[in-house]
Amino acid sequence: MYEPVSGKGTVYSATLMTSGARHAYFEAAQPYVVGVVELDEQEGLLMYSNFPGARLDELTVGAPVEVFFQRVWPDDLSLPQFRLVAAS
Amino acid sequence: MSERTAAFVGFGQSSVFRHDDVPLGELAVEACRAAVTDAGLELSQIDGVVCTPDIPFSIEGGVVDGVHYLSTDYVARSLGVTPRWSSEVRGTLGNSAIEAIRGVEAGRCDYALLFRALHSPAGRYGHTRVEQAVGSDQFTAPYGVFPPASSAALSWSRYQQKYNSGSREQMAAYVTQERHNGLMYEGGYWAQYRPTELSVDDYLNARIVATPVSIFDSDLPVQGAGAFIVTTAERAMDLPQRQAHVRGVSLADTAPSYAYIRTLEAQLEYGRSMAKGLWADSSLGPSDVKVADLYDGFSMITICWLESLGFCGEGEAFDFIQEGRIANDGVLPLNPSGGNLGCGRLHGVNHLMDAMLQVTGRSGSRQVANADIALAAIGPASSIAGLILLGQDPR
Repeated sequence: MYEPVSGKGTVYSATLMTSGARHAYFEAAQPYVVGVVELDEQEGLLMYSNFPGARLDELTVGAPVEVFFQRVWPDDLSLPQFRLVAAS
Repeated sequence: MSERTAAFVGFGQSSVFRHDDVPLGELAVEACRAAVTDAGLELSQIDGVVCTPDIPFSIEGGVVDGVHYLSTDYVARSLGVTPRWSSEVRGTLGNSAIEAIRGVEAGRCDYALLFRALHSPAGRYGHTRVEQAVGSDQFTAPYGVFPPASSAALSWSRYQQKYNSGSREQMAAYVTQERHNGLMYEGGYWAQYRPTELSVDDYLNARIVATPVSIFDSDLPVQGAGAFIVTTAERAMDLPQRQAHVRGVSLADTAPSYAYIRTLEAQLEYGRSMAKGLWADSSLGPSDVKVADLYDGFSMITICWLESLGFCGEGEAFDFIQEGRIANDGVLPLNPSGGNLGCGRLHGVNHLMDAMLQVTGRSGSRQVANADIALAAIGPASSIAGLILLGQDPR
């Protein structure tokens, strides 16, 4: 059974893709951040994010993040992304 | 402890090319014939054939047996052998080597031919033009995730913060040593085509792929093949070469899969669990190992193996690799024949070859003194890896 999650998590790790992309769209987008979020609901429950708007040096391990939905690619695709939030 | 009865008695490697100038099938046949000759056998005596046919990246337009990958059937037909047992195993050479060992020990064949062949297409490696991500790709492709480089970068960057260790300056000690070692192996790509040492400055100034991973932290894709002959220690006594006795093996206890986020913790956990299996199977421990052939498709993979196999403590690997400790005359010679980073990407062929030749005293200028036990850890610590412990003596 699927269970809803809160959309809250923490930064697990992050890197700046500078020349590792192997697709024209992402080659043109370099450099961009690729990172992993650990969701608050469960240890080891991980998903990727690009942390749009954040710099690599802000994305320290354990920093709190929350989901937002970013419109990407040609028109009707929404991608779950994460942004930094102030620690509570 | 299990009573291991198999031994490695022959090795052969093909010529190595940067790209697919020579068909993969031809290179595999060259490697297999060399291995059979090395073992002092006739092709007609080969009655088992084992391989891992996986291609670790996608080929647009489909794959062709003999060109992009090799099946056991293709190789058996090309060699003119009729095996009574053959097996194709997913994962890496680690998985298929253990399949060959177990097959021989179970009596499925007398002489197993084990091979691994790697295709390297012209043009940029693993490039894709797909615009729709399906299956597990839907969770990676839209984010511009390009494993395995991104996996290496994400585990390394997490390591740096978690342990406050792991600078590129520290990693340089390992990567430059690997190139140095690889230049001593005549079958390696760098030794044949670009025989120059890698300086610390070269390494530190290298193009970054994904921070902190540079091009020199990643192995160079090449086209080539390696082959091994496995038989029982008893039959091996009648053969010309000294035999490398199998002292222990270990696989992950999950099915081979490429589809998950290969995190730092996942690698360490897989590694520790596999190590536990290996030490139980062999009744040996890390202090018994005189040569460590640890996988290095990315430099960070080796760091994880060093810690999870117990050669150093958690968070200590970057300190451990300094001051010549991993040189061929150091406390733990690491990849004395150069591994993937020093010889090109033959997916563990170099590691198994080195372990086998070290314990039989056949490593020439790369020979480590008193190398009675050698460990080959093939693949990143995960379900697509296998640990094979070889010894000079049966027990």
